[in-house]
Amino acid sequence: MTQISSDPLASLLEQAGPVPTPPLARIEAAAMAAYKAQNLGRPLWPVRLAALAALVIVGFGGFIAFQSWQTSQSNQKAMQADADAFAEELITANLDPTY
Amino acid sequence: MSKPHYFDPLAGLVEKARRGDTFAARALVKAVTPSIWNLSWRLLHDAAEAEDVTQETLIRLWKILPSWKPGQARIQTWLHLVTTNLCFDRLRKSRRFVYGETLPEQSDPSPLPDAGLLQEVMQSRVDRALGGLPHRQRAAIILTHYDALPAREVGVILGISVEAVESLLARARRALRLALKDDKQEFFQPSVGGTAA
Repeated sequence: MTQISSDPLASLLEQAGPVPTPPLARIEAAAMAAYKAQNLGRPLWPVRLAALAALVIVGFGGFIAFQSWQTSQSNQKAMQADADAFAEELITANLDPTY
Repeated sequence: MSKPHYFDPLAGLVEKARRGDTFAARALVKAVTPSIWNLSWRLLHDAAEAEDVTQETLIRLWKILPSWKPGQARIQTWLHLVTTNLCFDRLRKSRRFVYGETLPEQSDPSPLPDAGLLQEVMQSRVDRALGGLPHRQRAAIILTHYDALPAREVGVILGISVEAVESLLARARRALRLALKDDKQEFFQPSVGGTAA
């Protein structure tokens, strides 16, 4: 058990009385009770507010994106209809090919 | 200048406990309790007081968790700092000589009957010598010798520079050598004899 270290003082310090075993169960129970009490008392409104804000931002952005897509679709349809009508008009116009 | 970043093996548990993870909090308690207990017991030499200090330190840990910034310091260093300060407060308030009440008076110089008793006497002498040191010197010796912390970390815990830690340790070692001067010979004799045989 006894070791002869290069530092005799260090060897002597090793001879100090042993530290008793800590009452782990009691300490852990008290610490966890304090932890749970603190977590219960923690205000939840910042988390809820942040979640609501994120939802609003995503919802608004999604709505704008949908609107923009829908407008572009209807514009494209209108242009296609115009082009078709013009082509039909050209066909039925009986234009003189020699002109 | 940016603050130095430290590797903290407990950082993951601290972060999870900060977010409200009960399992991580429990694991953190299990990981840090022994070192808090050892330090407080060695400084106070009183189980009830050491238990109070350990619990108080853990409650303070929960309070600091929401504002804890990972990477700026090791949680163990912070815990040592709080434990040491709490112990110093108690020692100042009680103004007691820590080891004086429970330990026997100077031992009988006549030969000792067995090795167990010799060890017991040795323990009480070393304990008394440690207890006779001023609080800060004792803390420096405990943190350096028993917790094997580097001088820089001991300096952070005691709120002093590395040079001041070295000076504190030198004074503590001198005082201990003086207090244990008569015991050295007696202590080494059976051990040396045993090794040679």
